[in-house]
Amino acid sequence: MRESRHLRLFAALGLLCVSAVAVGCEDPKPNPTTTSSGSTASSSGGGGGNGGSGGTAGSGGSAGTGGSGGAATAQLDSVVTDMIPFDATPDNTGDNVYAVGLDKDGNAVINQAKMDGSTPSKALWTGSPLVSPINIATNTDGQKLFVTDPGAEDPSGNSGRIFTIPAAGGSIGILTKADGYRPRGLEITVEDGKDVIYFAGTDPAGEAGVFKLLADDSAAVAVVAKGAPFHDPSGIVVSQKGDVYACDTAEGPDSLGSIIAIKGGATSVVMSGVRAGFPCGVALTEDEGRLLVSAFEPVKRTDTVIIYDLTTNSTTYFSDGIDTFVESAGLHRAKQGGNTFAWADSQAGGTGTVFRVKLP
Amino acid sequence: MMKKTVWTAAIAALAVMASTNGALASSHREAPMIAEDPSADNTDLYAWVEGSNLVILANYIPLEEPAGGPNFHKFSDDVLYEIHIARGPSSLDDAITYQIDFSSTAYPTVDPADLALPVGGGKEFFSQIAGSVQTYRVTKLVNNANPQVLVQGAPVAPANIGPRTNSIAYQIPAGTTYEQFFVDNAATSVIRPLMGNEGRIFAGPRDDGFGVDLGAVFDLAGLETVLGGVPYDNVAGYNVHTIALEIPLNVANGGTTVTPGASANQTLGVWASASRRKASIIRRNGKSQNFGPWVQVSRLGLPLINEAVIGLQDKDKYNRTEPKTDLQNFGAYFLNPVIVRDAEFAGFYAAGGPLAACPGGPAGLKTGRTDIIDVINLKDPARAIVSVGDVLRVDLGVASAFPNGRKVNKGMNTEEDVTDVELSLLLCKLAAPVPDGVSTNDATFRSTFPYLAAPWEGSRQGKGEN
Repeated sequence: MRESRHLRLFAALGLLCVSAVAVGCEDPKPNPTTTSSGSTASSSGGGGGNGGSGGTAGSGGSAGTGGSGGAATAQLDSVVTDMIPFDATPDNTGDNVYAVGLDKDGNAVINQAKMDGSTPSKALWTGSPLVSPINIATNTDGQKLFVTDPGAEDPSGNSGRIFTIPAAGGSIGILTKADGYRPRGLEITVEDGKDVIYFAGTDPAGEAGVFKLLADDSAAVAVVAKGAPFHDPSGIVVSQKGDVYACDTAEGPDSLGSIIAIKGGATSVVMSGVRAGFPCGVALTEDEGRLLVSAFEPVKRTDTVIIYDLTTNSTTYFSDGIDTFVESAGLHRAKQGGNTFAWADSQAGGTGTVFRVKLP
Repeated sequence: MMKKTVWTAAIAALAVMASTNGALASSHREAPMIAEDPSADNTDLYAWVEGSNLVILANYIPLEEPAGGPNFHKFSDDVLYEIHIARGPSSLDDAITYQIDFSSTAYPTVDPADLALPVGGGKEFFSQIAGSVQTYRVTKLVNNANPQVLVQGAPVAPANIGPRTNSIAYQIPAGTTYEQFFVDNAATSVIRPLMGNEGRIFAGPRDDGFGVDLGAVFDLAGLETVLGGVPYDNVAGYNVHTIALEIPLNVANGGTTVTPGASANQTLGVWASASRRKASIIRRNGKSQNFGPWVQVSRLGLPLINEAVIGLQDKDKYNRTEPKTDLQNFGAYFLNPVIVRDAEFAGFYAAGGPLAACPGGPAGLKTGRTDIIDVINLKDPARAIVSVGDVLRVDLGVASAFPNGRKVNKGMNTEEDVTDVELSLLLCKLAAPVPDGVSTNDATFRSTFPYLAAPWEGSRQGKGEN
């Protein structure tokens, strides 16, 4: 059941673009233009031997800054292999994983499994009112799960719903205040002592953006940011200080995805040219210094997790061990579990796989 | 015994298709999944050097019945249509990408009970007077970056419905034809320049430039010419939707003036595609939402590749992938062409058979066919091309002639006999022609941009009129 591989996650910029040619290595792009230490292409690639092979003249600026032995070990374990997962999240400690998607019979499900892969997944909920559950998140104490389903039928029948279910299982509830908002990616954080759901969606007027509502459904939805540049926001993550990062799958004028930041109510595109996974999961590392994006490697079009350094605006790709897969999907970090992530590929291994990813 | 008869007919049919009844349609309904999605189905691609320009014609939507109203065929607002141009000997990555993105205005909502309202709006069932207008935007990328909008709000030529529509809905003056109004007359033409002297574009319905006895071919290759009967061009009278680009040669060449003569660096690899958003939710209110990243669902480079070379088990995958991975994904189909085994089974390589003189015989022709890849990639002493993939090569420094480009014959009803060339290549290493003949279209190609003939008119040229 469990397959474990130890991967070498090199600090070298460019390494993870090792199979890419220059054009691909330029993609995605920090935006606005940042220091040239960024974007991955580095034909001379530091001293690390495995440094980027991609770059040709001019692309990507200076050579990789690392690579000289700066190898760390990341761990990738397959955890759930008996469903088609669209999104998955660890519990707070990283002991359990919860996933949404379809079971082997095509029924919409919310599943739970041990994060060490020791048991088959079990369904916490199957079928109606779920239709196409696409994203899942835990609340801050880990006792509740929240699930978005843009295909579920609200009273209008047209706008999807947000559901909640106890992490230990039980009956499913509906956050009716979110009806009408076509919800997709979501994350839960604390504001003024209360759990607040941030979610990507489209409001009843048809404007896409990021919205929030109290997790107890006691107040109306509020706008965090909407309208341009949002087009099709998917996964989101919220930092401790309240910055929001959303992956928009088709924001860019090149028809590719972007990462949009919302800071103090102002939006900015921090990275464009992203070949976004679906759903396009985003997560922050424990120190909130790096943003992880579920995506596709720009040249091979196989799975990758983009690692975007929020300090240097530089980009690396985490592709090793997943570069034979082609359906990169949701991504979440265990809230109190260090750098333990659940990442899904909705097709890997045949029916899709939820992986545990541990970064150093 | 019966099986052998079928295959004999099949091979004969291929020869006949190349001889008497026009070329096989390049890629109409060629794969199971795209057959269910006509508006994204890329049916044909032409690209050739025409004077100081490169012309690219990308056709979509197979077998459009001209009278197929009231919601006539149109480009889909939910599909991203793209034309890709790679350049040089070693890379099939896009040097230039043209993204064509259509959008239609909603039908104006009107109260059906308000008798004071004039004709028009969303209460109507005649689409041409209901008030929705489709336009498109063209975005150009260079090396997959720096998106630049070359034109937006460009009009699409509407369906050619009939004289009353021309007069009342389109307000075409008496004595002026649909074609004159929407194409020829500068004041009303839908042809639009691309900003920055980047060329011009047309989008709209055209006559399908192919002719083929589809019905007989797909009845297990039971062509009337083989079995005794009269062949019909089943594509005759049908339209397609065409995106036509005319690009200055230096633009196609990356900003550098083209030097006459064969050159790998000036050789392009052209292909076209269509993509849809990854997820779709169909709503009870009559609407649907499409979201998620774009996923390619159709593509075309050389004629016939997905139709006649790639096996059914891989055709959908072919449409989802890009030319640069063709060798790893589909190399076995090129190196071991199935059609040679079919011909061998049919006895065509045996003494006295039509292919008996082919070099190497079936043993040498059914495997190890790197020559196929070399020919379609224009790998010859003049061009050291090393990249491999299903693209239409066009050497900008040389007059185009298939497989170096693919053109229509202006002012005539013939196009290049691409089927002859490909069959001769596959079956006989080009050492002997498959039976040659005249390939004719049911309309005369225009002498001017966009070159494909005017679309057939629904009112007087729909099926059953003749």
